[in-house]
Amino acid sequence: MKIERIVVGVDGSDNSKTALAWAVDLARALDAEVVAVHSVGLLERFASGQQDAADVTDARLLFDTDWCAVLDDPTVRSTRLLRDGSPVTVLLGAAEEFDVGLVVVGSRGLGGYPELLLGSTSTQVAQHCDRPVVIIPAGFVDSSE
Amino acid sequence: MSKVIFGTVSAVDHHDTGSAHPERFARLGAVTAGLADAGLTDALVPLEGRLATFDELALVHDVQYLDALERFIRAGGGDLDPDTPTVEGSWMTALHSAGTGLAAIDALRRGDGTAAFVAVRPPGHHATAARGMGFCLLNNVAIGAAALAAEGERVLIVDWDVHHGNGTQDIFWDDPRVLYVSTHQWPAYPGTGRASETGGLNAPGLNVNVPLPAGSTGDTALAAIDEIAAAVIERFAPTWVLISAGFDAHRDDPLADLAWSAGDYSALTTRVAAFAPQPGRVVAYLEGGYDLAALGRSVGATVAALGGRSWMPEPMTSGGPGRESVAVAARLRERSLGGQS
Repeated sequence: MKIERIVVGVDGSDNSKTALAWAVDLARALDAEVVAVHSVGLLERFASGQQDAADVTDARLLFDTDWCAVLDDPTVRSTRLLRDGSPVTVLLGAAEEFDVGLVVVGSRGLGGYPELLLGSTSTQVAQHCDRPVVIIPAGFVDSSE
Repeated sequence: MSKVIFGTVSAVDHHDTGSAHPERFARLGAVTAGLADAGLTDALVPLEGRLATFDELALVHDVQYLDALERFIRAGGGDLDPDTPTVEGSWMTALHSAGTGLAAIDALRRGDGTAAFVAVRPPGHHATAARGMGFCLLNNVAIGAAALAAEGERVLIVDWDVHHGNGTQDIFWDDPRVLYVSTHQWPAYPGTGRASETGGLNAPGLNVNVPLPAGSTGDTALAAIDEIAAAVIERFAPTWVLISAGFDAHRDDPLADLAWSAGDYSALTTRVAAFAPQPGRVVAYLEGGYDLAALGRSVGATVAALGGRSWMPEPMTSGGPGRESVAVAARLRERSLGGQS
């Protein structure tokens, strides 16, 4: 089995940045491509007033410059995607579209909802994805570094 | 005009999302103003709402979700996701909203009116069995449909909110007692709603999605009802019609890019209400709609049409792009069903 692409959910939270960094490390070791995906929610569209998710200027800027800074590493191939939708739907869709070998998501993104794990993005993705899923716990520190 | 029951949670609305959030207190005021502008205030039958019971909610939502959501909100609330804030008053407001829909059904059964409109918030159609999202906490229309289905009714839900009602679709995906029909912008939040999503093994064909491209006008929505949904609805033979009446497909809405007018909502209402087998079997639930003036005009046109009166403060729209999207959706749906549509 060879993992050629890894999709990662990115929402700007610390947990998602950790998940992305973990995925980049893995991709470097496997010579895989990282596909970083941000789902554009209702309020981001409202704030931007733009028609197309790809043109959502504020989110695009943050996504490119801050949330995905770790992708600037030239030794790892990467793709950055903004898609309208809920995080679960967008992640599952990207996993299928890019035919990825692995989905990586943080256990806790933006929004407090810690006690309702059943409804969390990570749990929903793990339940519905037909590919391997890695969930990076909140507060995870890679001690190998 | 025939008697339309009108319920609102405005007097018990403590779901304070702040004035900067598009799904805000002021929407219910815009609804009331729109009804006044349409000359409907005195013609409506006021509805006394109530709280939904836990058992009524549990017909739709996972008990674990309900328990956790109530605890989370009663502890002060917070954001369920970046779109969906809650505050301490959100739980009771959500219970009132779900209960006001149920009260409308009860009132229609008593013969108090020929149709009902409930101005409720937070909206509901994105809420799944286990998760609030997209401004929604409890799925109001699904709670009404589930209560009716539990009593042996066959329920049609037509969802013309500009966003796909992923929660409602998910809840009734495999339920042969409920037919779900949605028109919505595509691509757009929440990312579900493909024409090929046609229902589960126990309810094949009982999920009808017609995705519409940005800029499309009201004629395309009417064509979606006439050319795709009508035949399915007639075969299903609903005994009740519930409408997820979002008004964010209006051309002035800031959250999406369809180009409908208040006149289109009048025509759609007339078309959809006609699927009810008898008077007194139609309830429209407020979902989205975030431009206050457009919301008021559109609700006025909708409620007037529920009462059998045509009030179009804006003419119907036509000629927008994507008219072919209806035929495309029909083909994708047929392919998904293996020619059994």
